[in-house]
Amino acid sequence: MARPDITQYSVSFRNAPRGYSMLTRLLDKEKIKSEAMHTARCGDRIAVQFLAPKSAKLREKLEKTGAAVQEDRIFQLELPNRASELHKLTKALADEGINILSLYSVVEGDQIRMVLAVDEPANAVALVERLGFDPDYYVFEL
Amino acid sequence: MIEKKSTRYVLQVENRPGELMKLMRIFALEGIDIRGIKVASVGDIASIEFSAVTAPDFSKLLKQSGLEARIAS
Repeated sequence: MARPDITQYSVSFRNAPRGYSMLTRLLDKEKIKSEAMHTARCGDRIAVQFLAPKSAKLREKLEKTGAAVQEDRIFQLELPNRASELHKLTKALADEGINILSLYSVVEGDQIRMVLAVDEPANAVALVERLGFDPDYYVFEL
Repeated sequence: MIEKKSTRYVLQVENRPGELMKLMRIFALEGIDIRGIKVASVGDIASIEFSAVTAPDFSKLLKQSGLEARIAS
């Protein structure tokens, strides 16, 4: 079975109530599932991030709402849910000058599953492999 | 079994390499148990939200690392 080309959309806007309203209406119309949706305040902007199949049409519609839209390639990995392992991962990325743009996590028993977007995905995936983890560009629902 | 109470924190940091690592270093050094973490960024600012069982002086440790967290819940 072909793996869907999933991308992470980061949609940001200033006017939160109006922006939310337009965004949720659009996502509903486009039948975008929102299980992996994350909202955060960054300065004076609200950022809504979600995973969806890559679509130029969806991006165009998002931009028409007046929001700033960014797409990032994502990958996931599992690692032991220990602070030392998380430190090892983030230190290795920082030492290589790789910036983490977003991160979602789910704790599953002794493991933590993370979905990351970084500014240098290919370099980050190679680095994560060298650390002994098994990253995958295929991301299933969180 | 008694469930330890966790607290949700939100930090706003500069969107550059190494900021999340500062937080992870504190977790590693203090042996802090993380229940979940999310990061989002827009422009020059990144938001880090996490739940953790923390020590009473956790806010002080963050400040010493140049990070300042708001307790969200």
